[in-house]
Amino acid sequence: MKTSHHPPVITLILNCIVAAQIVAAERTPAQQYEAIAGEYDLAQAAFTAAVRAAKIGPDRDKVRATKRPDVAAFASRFLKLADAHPKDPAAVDALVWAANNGDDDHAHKALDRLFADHTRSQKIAAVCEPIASRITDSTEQRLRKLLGETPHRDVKAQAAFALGLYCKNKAEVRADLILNLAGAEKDLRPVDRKHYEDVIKSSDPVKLADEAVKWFQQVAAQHATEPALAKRAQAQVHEVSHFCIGREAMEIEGADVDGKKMKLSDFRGRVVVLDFWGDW
Amino acid sequence: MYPSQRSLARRMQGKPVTFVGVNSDGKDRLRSTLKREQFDWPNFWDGGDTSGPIAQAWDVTGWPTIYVLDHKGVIRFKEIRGDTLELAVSLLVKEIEAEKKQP
Repeated sequence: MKTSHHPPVITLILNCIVAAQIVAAERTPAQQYEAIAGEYDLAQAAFTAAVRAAKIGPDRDKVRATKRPDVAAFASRFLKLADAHPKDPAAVDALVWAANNGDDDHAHKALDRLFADHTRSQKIAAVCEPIASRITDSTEQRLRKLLGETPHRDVKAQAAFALGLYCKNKAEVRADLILNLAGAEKDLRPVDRKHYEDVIKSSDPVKLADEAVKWFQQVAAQHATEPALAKRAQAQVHEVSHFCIGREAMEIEGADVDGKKMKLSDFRGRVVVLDFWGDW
Repeated sequence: MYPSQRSLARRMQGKPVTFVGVNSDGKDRLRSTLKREQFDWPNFWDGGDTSGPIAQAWDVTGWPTIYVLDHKGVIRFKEIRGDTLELAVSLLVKEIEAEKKQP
């Protein structure tokens, strides 16, 4: 019988390494997801520690600017994982990570796949609220598609809530565009100016606010099954009913510091800069 | 913030624009600030602290909070300061002027 060239201990170590490699090759998609996510968490913790260790000022700014974990690289790995195992539940986790934490480019790709292939997954709920701040037609289409296709009650509620947020955010972005257009008219490229004008013309803040109220009311009604989200929706109903861009300002009846009575509506006919302030 | 508010108010003199404050300080403090800073626009006194009735009704949770209303009392812009605030105000003043020109 042929004897080993290695002393027994070394053989044991070699066997372990081979075994470890086999395990690595056979790790489940879920384990691979956990491994990448864990690696990111470590990188993030190291970054936070490095920021804390640096002296406040230029040193710390430099650490902040240079040592941040490369989210694009992580997002790319998550997308590859999702590509390799498209039917595995871990693919959804990987795509959700890339959508919520990745750079714009990878986030877009991840969202495309999530809303094309995974609208029946319960985990897609996690991207609803974050995408509500992306004001493009595709956001609205995606959320409506999800609303129609998900079999899960909680995902439906999340999608409706996100549609409410989207409408509210869109009214605010529209107001920003009006100011951008007026403030930088000469510097704008014609194509951008055209885009701004189109968005402004094609949307109406009052309609957006009314639509937001409708979505939030729908979620607020589900207090029995979705208590936490319903409570947040109820607060949003109040906000978009009274304090959204496009709403008539609520009347204020009060008095000045000398007790002289006044109302906010006394100033109708003039532009009013209403300033809640204090000297602190 | 104070100097920029004052200078905007000065530049808008003679135009259909007004600041309206809702102040959360005690009465004495508000009186002395108005005098020291030469604020000559209307200010609601909101009960002496940040939980005053007006701030509560308006769900205000951060100070300062700014709303810009047009001449019809409609909220048109929120949370803007400095040059952007001035730009917003002049846009809304132009709307009033345009409306006056209409027969």
